[in-house]
Formats: sequence, C-alpha cells, structure tokens
Amino acid sequence: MGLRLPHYGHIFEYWPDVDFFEIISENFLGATGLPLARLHRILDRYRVVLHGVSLSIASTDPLDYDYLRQLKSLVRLTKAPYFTDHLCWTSAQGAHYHELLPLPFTEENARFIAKKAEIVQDYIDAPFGLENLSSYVAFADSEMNEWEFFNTVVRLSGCHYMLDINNVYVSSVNHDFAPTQYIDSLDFSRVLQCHIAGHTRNEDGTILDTHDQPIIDPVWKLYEYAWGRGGGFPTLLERDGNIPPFPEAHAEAMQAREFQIKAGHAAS
Amino acid sequence: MRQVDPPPALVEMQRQFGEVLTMPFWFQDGKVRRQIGAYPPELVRRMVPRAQLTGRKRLAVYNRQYWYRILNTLQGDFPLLTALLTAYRFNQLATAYLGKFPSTHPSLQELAHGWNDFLSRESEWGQSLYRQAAELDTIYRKALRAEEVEAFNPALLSENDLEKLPQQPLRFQETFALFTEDWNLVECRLSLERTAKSEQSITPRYGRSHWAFYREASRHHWVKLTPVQFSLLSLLHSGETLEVALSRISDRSSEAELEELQGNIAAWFSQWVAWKWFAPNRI
Repeated sequence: MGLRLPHYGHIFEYWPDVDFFEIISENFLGATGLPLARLHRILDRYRVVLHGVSLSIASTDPLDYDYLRQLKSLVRLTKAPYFTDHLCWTSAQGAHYHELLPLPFTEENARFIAKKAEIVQDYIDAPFGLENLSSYVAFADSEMNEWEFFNTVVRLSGCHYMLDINNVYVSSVNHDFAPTQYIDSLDFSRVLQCHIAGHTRNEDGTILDTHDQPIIDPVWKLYEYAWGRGGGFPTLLERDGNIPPFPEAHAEAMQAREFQIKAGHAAS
Repeated sequence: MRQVDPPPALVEMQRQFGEVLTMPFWFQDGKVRRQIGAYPPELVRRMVPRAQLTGRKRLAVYNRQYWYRILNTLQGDFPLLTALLTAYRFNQLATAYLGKFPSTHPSLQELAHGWNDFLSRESEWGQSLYRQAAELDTIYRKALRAEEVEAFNPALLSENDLEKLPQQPLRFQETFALFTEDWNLVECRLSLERTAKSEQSITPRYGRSHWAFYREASRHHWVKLTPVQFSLLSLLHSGETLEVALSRISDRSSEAELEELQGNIAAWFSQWVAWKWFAPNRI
C-alpha cells in the first residue's frame, strides 16, 4: 500500500496486516515534527520502501546533492531495500515544475540519463528502480519507441525497473501501441517492484495518470499478463485522489493476488 | 561531486517545455482561459499529433496539469484565505505569486515559502484581512512540521533553579504560536474544518482578539487570551525573561490590568505548563 495521510487514523488504530508501505520520499526528506513522529510509528511495525517524484533524473540541471544527501539519509533511516523514482524530468534551469515530464527517446538522451542514474545508484548505495512514465505527448524526433528507451537506460545504467503497469496502459492508449509488446520487451529479473493504479479519461480521449479511480479491467489483465511473463515482484496500489477508506483501498490492492493466481504463478 | 554534461538539444527542449507549463491562464469575467496560441512554435512543431488532437492541444494537457497541481496545493496550504477570496480570485493571486516566486524546491511543501513576503509587498492583495488570514493558515502549516519536544516540567527543577527562573528566557515549543486578529478569523477557520468543502463560504466579523495556538501530537488547539496575557506571552516568546516582561507590562498597564496580572499569574503559568507550551533545556 502507498502510505497516505487519510489512512493514518485507521493504520494507527488497527495496525492492519500489510506486507509493506511505500512512502513518497519528498514527504519525509529532512522531516521533523508530526510527519517524522508518524514515520517512526510506521517503521516500528512495517517494512517501508521509498518512491520519489522529484529526483528529476532526466533534467539537464546538475544532480542536486543536497537532495541526494537527504534521500540517502532517508534510505538509511527506513532501512528501505531499494528506492525508486521516475524516468522523467521535473525541474530545469533551476525551476521545479512538480510534474512528471516527457522527453524525446533518443540514443543521446538515453546515454545521458543512464550516466546520471548510475551515479545516483552508486551515491545512495542501494538498488535504484526507474519507473516508466505515462505521457500525453510524443516527440517527432524520437529515434526509438518508449520501451526501447526504457530498456536502454536500465541496461546502460545498471539500475532496475520500477514497472508501472497502469502507465504502460495509459501510454499505450495515448500513443497507439500494444501494451503487451511493451511488457514482452522487459527483462523481469531486473524488476524491483510494480505499481498498479486507476486513471481518468479526458473528453479528448487522452488518458491521465491521476491515481484517483479504481483500477480498470484492462489494467488488471495487463498485470496478469506481466505476472505471467515474470511474476514474483512486489506489487503496490497507488491511490492519490478520491482516496477511499483504508479497508476498501486495501481490498482493491489484495485483488492482485487473484490475478497472480490466474497467471499461474501464485505469490510465494 | 560527479556530474554529467547534458545534451544541448535537451536543454533547449526543457526550456521551451517549461515555458508551456508555466504559461499563465487568463482570468477574465469569472472565466479562465489557456493561452495555447502562445506556446513556443518550435516545440509545437516537434509534437506528434494524434487523432483530432493537434500538437498544441497535446501540450495544453501539461499546461493544465501543472496549474491544477500547483493551485490545488496552494489552496490546501491556505484554506481560510481561499474561502475568503473564493477559489477563482485565490487562483489569480496564486498565479501572480508564482510569477514572482517560482518553485525552486523539490518539495511542494515549500511552494508557499515566499507567500507572506509577497502579500506584504502587493497592494492589490495585501489588505490586512488577507494578510492575517494567510498568517493564520501559515501557523497551521508550520506547527504541523515543527518538532514537539518533551514538555518543561518545573517539578524536575531544584529549588535553586526555580528561584533563578524569572531571570532566564523561557523556551517555547515550536508547535506554539501567538496570533492577533482584527476579524474573527480563528472562528472562521475552525468552522471551515467542520464544514464540507463545497459549502465553504465565510464572511468574517470585525473585532480584535488575541490567541495562542498549540499543537499536541495530531491535535491542535486555540486559546483566547486577554490583552495582558497576550502582552506577557509576546514578550516571553520574543526571548525576554519573566522579570523583564513583568517590568515592561507594569510600566504600560492600567491598574485593572495590573490587578489581573498579579491576581492570576501563578494560575496562568500553571495552566500553560499543563498545556505543554514550554520546552526544557535552556531554562
């Protein structure tokens, strides 16, 4: 489960049986006060992994070592077995946009990002999972498709995949490709974790990765397909808007087990 | 510190994309419109169109998403100010703010770092009512992130230390704040907390009051203060010793206020200690 504010009350009262919580790294970088106190309560009882939204690995700005120092401290504090962030940029020329932004899929860009990702993984000294992006534009000057780009960056950097199944689906609709082709291209031995989530469809047909709706059947089917190709990875439900009560969100996450079984690889 | 030289073409693309994202909306006659015609033409040409969506319209998705997230975050940081202004006018204010104070921090929690500074400089938005509302909203935000340390306990002090207490500055919890209002803003904010978002509309009443705010674990509290209590706490909070604070108040207070102070000070302190407003160490 993703650890979200509206669920704290339930968690601290009932201490539900959850395999692990994923926290948004930026919510706890240099945390003090109530956020830090709450994190310690969670760490006393649960395993925690870190998922970031502002590393901005594809930014042309220099790596932000203040940010990386804090991230490293958080990895140590939480004893997280790995950390993840997105294959995208969120800042440039010193400005932070707080959006996960796309870029052209070129060999030059892939090499640039891979070098940065390798540095980050070395610096943090823990496995780094790069998450595939959902995007709403495509660049005419891209030299390869999205999964070729994703695979190239992961291969060249020696990092790992943070496979977001919903993002594969979203991009497949927005850019007209077969999502199974994307899944087929991945080396599942390098998948650290996977995300599943809901999304929203705009009137113009674009699908937005909003994490504010239940997961739709085609995404569950794609999850089942991915599990069939190389299951065994930790699975996490992301919910960031219209957040239902904890038991409801947890029940939705637990549906993943049904699809794992259907795929013929029941979770161990 | 290892770094990597970026591809120049990517630098330029990110500059142009940043322009698209932050392109402000037009606020006119209660409506909001995007300025998609003003996107950099070079970037627009690089976008692959899809079905009925032109490259420009595809970019507009990001422009909208950017403002949606930013404005929602700031509305969440300033719920009272938003309710006072209405979301439409608040969004105009937030757009003007970001023009002067663009985000330069990875965390959205820092987005409002220059807000009160901005309001104090802007005549259009800097009316006392709005400044006070923003100050009150800021108290909540800061208290949430402030460290709550073990409370000061006078029972643990020796007789000698107790005697020296009036000559030493008192340390307050960082989760504590003082607030003076010229409208019933605390009451308005508390009523917002009890009301569904869709029903939020408030009309503040004029009237000066002094308040102490404190957070204890996940609960926050407001305590209304008399002017004498507020003066005393303000002096102590600014680092004056009890001895100096009392002497200053005595110099400028009426007889009735002095009587109030002398008759109640022990009980006040006892209550404030019980509410854990003070922290130990430097005492």
